[in-house]
Amino acid sequence: MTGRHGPVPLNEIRFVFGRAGFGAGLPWGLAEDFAEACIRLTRAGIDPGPAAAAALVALDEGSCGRGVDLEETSEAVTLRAEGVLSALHAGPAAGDWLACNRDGPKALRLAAVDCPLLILGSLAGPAHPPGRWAISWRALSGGAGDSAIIGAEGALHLGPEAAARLAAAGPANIDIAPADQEPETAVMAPPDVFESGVWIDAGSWTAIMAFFGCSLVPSTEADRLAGAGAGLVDTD
Amino acid sequence: MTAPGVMGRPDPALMRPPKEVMRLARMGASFPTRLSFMRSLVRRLAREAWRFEVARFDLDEEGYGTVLLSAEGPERVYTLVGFSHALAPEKRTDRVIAEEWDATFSLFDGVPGEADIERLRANTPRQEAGRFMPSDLVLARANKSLRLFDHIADSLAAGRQPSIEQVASVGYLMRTTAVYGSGKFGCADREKLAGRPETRGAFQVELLTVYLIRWFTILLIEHVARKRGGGRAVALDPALRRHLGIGNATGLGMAPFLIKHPALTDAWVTARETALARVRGLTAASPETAAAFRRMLARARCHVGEWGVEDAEQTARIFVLRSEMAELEAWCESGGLAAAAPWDALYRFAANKFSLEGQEMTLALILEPHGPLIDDLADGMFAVEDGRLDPAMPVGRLRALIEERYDWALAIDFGKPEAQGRFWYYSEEKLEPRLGDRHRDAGGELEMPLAAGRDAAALHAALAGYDAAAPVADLLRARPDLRHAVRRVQAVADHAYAEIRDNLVDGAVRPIDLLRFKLAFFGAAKFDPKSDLWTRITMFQGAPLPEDLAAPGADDWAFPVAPATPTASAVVS
Repeated sequence: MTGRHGPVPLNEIRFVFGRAGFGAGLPWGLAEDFAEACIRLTRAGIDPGPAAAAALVALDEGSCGRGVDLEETSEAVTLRAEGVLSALHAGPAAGDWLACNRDGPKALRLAAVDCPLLILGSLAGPAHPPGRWAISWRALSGGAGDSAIIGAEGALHLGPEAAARLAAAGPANIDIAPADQEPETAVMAPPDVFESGVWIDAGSWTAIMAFFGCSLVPSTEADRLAGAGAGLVDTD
Repeated sequence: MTAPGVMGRPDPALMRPPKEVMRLARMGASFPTRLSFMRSLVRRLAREAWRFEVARFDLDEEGYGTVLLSAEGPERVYTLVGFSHALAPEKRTDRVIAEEWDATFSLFDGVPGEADIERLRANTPRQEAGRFMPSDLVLARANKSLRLFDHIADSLAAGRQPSIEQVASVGYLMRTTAVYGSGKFGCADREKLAGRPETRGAFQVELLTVYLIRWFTILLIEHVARKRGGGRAVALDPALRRHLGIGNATGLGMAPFLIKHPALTDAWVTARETALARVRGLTAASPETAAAFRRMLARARCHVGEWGVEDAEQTARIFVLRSEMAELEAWCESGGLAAAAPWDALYRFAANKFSLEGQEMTLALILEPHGPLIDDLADGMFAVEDGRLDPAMPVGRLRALIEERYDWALAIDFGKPEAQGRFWYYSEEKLEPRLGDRHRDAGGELEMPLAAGRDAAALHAALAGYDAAAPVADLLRARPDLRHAVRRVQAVADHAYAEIRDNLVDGAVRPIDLLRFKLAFFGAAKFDPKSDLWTRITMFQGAPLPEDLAAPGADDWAFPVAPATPTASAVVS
């Protein structure tokens, strides 16, 4: 642990994370979705910082794909990429597919997603794909796997231990299917983020701010003088 | 007097269409109305009998130190924590890139304890470089108007009132250069306040802060005068106190907000246009409203007569406006208000004959005497924007939406260099919003996504390759670069006034039009454009100070006019 940065308002997460996504190479629309996914995790009491920073680094370094391919068989639909699938692309693509195919019989698999926690952020919240969804994942490195449910109102049903394991997880295969039972896992108690603010892992915040910086235009003396209209000194 | 349906949804034929209203040229001719946010705020403060108190006044001989001003409403207390500083002249700038100011402020949610005050003392003067808490609602700073501050301080110290002409020519003792809310730099998120009646409306907590800052400037100048003049010093004449507003220097930062909040923009404009349509739907003018209109017109003519700026273009527009207001008065004198449906006739008269400034001034004047008919609309001038995207929407539906809402953009050839001559960006220097020349300046690839028309046109072109029945999700997977454009088009589908129907990256775009539009909704007046990129304005000029709120006429401060003569000087206690 490197300490925590905060309190950070949700609007600052929207501004900083969204622009960081753009700075790391995401198109604006996906960058906006990335920021909203992180806000949803925050509202569920999960620090999105480590997963967000890792996903941005992977995108920037090219260690994941920069798009999504869709493969369809008689049993399932799979979203994949050349190599590892970026959660920054896969989350919105999964939400789109589920919204269009909520009555369909096929399950959805996301193959080798780099930062699986962000997928939960993409699918939770009030704008989630209509319906109740069971999401299970198994790390490529092995292990028992975990699961979560997105309830009918978009609430994320995930135990705290599973959330911690998922936050630290490496690439994983994720399966998403309609959930036909009421969730048994308690909803993670949302913190009162508006009274206490939220806190982000400090090392992750620093990494995200570096990408944020990439979205800004370097200042020159010429645009310092002309770009905003007013002069540099005003003794009026 | 009221046509059927006037109080609810007005006759659609009386609503001005978006293609007329949401054009930059008209937006840049906006005036404040009685629905503007400052007016709503002051009405609430008076109606709910808010109590104001100087909780701490710890300033030295020069006027530097700490001041706490509290505002107590029916349910909560808000406290302005202000710090007054010495500032070297060469460091005084209205730009975002400034690092020191004459005064800095935080609005605290409740009553701050000593630890809160000390925390703010360490952070508020640093502004963007400081770090704030959810208990801190707003962060702001202000600089003195040097030409007026010393004149008034010296006059009062010498036992006389300042020159009315000088007071009127500036209109404020300090101008704010930024007022940050909504989760900036650690301050509370908008959602914390959205459920409170007094802060649910647009920018109410920010404008409460500005209202308190204006009060602070009055207290400060009288303190400085007292220290300079001792027993000779006099208090500022009550009429002059009231005529002093608070200035503001507004730059490009306001423009992106409008583009990023289409549902909110729609809510504001829908309220104003509904108000106009309700009044135009009245079948007759009562003697009281007709008289009130004539009084307001006369006052507004004086107000515009005092409105002087250096900008040649705005000066020319003001001259035209003055002559049009004389025509308006002549129309009234000729019995226009006694005819059937007089307000509709009046609006049509203006729409057919006047400049855009004249038309928008007429709108503001028409609304003014009709508070009982329209003031309820102020309660609906907010919106929740969820940024949802419907990936299941058929491509054919999306295409039709673009053709309906962005016909103006489809008519632009964005391949021409001048059609994309500018780009909006954040500078790495304190995140100052700037406008670049795409064909000259570096950084175009980092532009803010504000060119809604251009991007909708690009989306429309891309949709040509898709089956009309296919879901938009198919396009989104193949063209993630168009995702923001899809979201935008869908977001404005149910909001007629959400989109500005002009090219915001055109080589000849005038950001000043966006600024004036938004500032008019705030309630600002005396627009004083300093270039196409920034303007000075005056806020709360003529508004009752806290001690005046209980008096009759607390809402009667539109189009303020300089007082004729100061009343007798009063010794400062």
